[in-house]
Amino acid sequence: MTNAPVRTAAGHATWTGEQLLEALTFAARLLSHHRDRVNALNVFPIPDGDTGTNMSLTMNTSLDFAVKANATDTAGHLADRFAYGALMGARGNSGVILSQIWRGFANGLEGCHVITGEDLGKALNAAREKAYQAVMRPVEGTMLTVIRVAAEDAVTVATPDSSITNVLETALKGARRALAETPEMLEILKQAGVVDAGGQGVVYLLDGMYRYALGNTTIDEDSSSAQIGAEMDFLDNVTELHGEDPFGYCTNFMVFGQGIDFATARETFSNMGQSVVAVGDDTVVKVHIHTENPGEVLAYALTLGYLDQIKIDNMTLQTEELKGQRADADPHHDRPRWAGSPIPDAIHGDTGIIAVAAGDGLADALLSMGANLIVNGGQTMNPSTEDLLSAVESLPVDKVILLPNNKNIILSAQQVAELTTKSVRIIPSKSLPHGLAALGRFGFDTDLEENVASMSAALADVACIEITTAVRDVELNGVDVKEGQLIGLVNGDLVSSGSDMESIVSATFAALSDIEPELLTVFTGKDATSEETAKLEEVATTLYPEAEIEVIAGSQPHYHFIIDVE
Amino acid sequence: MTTNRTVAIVTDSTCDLDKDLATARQITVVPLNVHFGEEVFLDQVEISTDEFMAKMADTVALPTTSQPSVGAFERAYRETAEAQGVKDIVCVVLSSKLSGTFQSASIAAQNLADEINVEVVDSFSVSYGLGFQALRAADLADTGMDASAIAATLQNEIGRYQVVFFAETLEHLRRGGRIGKAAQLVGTLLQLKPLLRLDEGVIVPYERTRTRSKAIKALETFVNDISAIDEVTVLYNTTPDDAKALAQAVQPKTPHHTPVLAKVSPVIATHLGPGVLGVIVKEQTGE
Repeated sequence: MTNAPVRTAAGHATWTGEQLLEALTFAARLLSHHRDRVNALNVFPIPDGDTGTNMSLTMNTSLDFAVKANATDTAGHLADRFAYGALMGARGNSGVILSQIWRGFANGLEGCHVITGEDLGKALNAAREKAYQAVMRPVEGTMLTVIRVAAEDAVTVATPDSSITNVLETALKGARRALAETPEMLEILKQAGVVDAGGQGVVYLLDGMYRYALGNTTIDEDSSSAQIGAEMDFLDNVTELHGEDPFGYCTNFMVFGQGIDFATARETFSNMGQSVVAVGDDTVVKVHIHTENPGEVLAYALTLGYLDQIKIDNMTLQTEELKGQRADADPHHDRPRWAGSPIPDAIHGDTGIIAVAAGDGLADALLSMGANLIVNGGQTMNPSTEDLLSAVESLPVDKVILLPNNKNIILSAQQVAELTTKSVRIIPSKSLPHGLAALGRFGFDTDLEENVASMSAALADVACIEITTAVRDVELNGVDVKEGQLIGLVNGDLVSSGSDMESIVSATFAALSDIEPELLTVFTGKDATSEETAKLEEVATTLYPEAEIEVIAGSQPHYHFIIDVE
Repeated sequence: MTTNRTVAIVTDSTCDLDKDLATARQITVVPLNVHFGEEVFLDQVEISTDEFMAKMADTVALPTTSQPSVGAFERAYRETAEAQGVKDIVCVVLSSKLSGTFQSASIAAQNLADEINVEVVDSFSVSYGLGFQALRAADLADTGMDASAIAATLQNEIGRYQVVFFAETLEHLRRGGRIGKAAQLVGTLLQLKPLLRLDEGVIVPYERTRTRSKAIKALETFVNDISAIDEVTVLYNTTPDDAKALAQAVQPKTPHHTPVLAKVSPVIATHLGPGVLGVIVKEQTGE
């Protein structure tokens, strides 16, 4: 989040490793700047892992790896380490495809000391190939289409005489053209009236590299204050920004003035604390800063204009409190983030099972059904490939079955298989009920392939109901959704929306149509009130008097209820 | 009916063999004991499965079980040897991992070593998994095979018998200390109908189904997935209709034998509780 000006390579015919790193750094910064806009393109109204966030976090990890590897001696080496970082940091499906793009890109630059325009064309073409290989059934109208057209166009101008700038310009134009066509290729985008989010991310990245080549690395602060506010709210919710155990005061405020020198103001704020984010223009600046001295920050801000919406939290106290709560609730709170349970000795046989879940109650249910380790994550914060890989490596067995329990984690899980010498198999579970059903079919004395087959087959045996709050307006499957409304999903499909829990629950159950449930296991989320739970039980009992109903405190975020229908 | 027999067969009451069948095949059944507080009943002799289930439902305190005494085995060996006019006995009993019955039977055998030669065999199984072995021993005895050869054959064939079952709840297994490796299943999800199987005499989790109908389906699939089946027995205690339906469903797998319905003995029911349904498969040998 630093805003120090980036040196540029304007006028250079070729890029060194150092220059490639700078180009990628600026591309990441540009994507990060537009992260909310990319997130806003997500079609589905559920609080799922957002494309902009996932791509941006993937880029950040890539840069970290590339910088730590000290790989700027050659462009090929730098690209290789950057791609490795992308692989490890890949979050969500968009992150995984992006990591494949960088892998191909690096393969195309193998052995290159410096990059020429021609090399860049080759690299983009290799990126296109690799990206298509990454997905089993490539879908057009997605980021794949955008990188494909960009690469195809780039290749036509990548000759021994062509400059990097020229190749990038052509690639970017192709990418933009393809992006604009994505709604024509994918019906769901057309319905929602948006372009593909991942494709938009690719465009920002190519744009960043192109602008670095031009020497134009200032980012327009064209955000309206509403947009800035939204960005700030969003940023506050990203726990990573706050690090593991932050200290000092998390200070947020807005400054309103006339003719504010925004660049200088931002520079000054960024020297006053950590995790600094300042967005705005010459009339309004919104600031987020971690400082040990909020007074000093506010005093400086007052020299720019008047202040509003001041919010100061003592993070040191919050951290202590949180630690205390965690310690009370869980004696193993010091375990690594990905490690759900210290029970490697409970592994019976030669195969370990790792499941992804958000929420203690969900984790416990998965563990009791035979999972050996839980990786935290799921909705909104998808675990990276590296998180999953660490979990796989930590199990004292050579055969591991991974249950992603979320469609946006399946690809990252698949990448893990290629990064370890262990035999890793992925069951494409898209929900908690999927995960529980698959675990049910695991045979302790059965061989790996047979287990994978029967566990995968089990996914068809259950239905999943989810009740959550819509995070955006959309009309989908004939259901009109307004942000903030309750929505009901059956097996991931949106079936109902409204503001009354009772009618949402009824409408969602109704969508089960021909299924006659024997058992409903209701996992209540953090946001579910006991009144809501009681109402849900009442509706379920009336609809299905024969069915058993079991209510478990799932403690999952965002989802009021996740219901396993058997 | 027995012409060549020089060996008598003894087993214990957890074999779940029908009384008439055991009598017809001259198999002596030594009962284990079921305790309701101070009251003691000889398994399947002084208390039937139906009486036991009714009493279990009416009694607050849960029953417990105990192995037959050494004396009970000594008496059974002596009386059987005398009645059948033989000096050799094969005694096959339930898994030594689940009960001390094997120990009682072995000590009794040592005590009588001067009078009678008793080969005690650990079946590593229970219920009809043991019942099938007792019947097999009787068949082998009918061919004139001697005691040590019968014992060796039974032990070689332990892998032929598959026992898979589920109970209404894991609670009885847990309280009785017989839950084995299925212990980890006791936890968050209360509605669980986990299938259990016997593996080398120990109860291990097989599949973890969550509803009764899925558990029944899984038993059916288990049977259908075995390539060459000789016989199947369906085990139950309180749900005869489910047992009949399951027997019908697996009938095509055993064209030469109608599946036997067997009631869980009170001793086993003590550890499984009500609603038990299971299948016991005798696989074909290579012969």
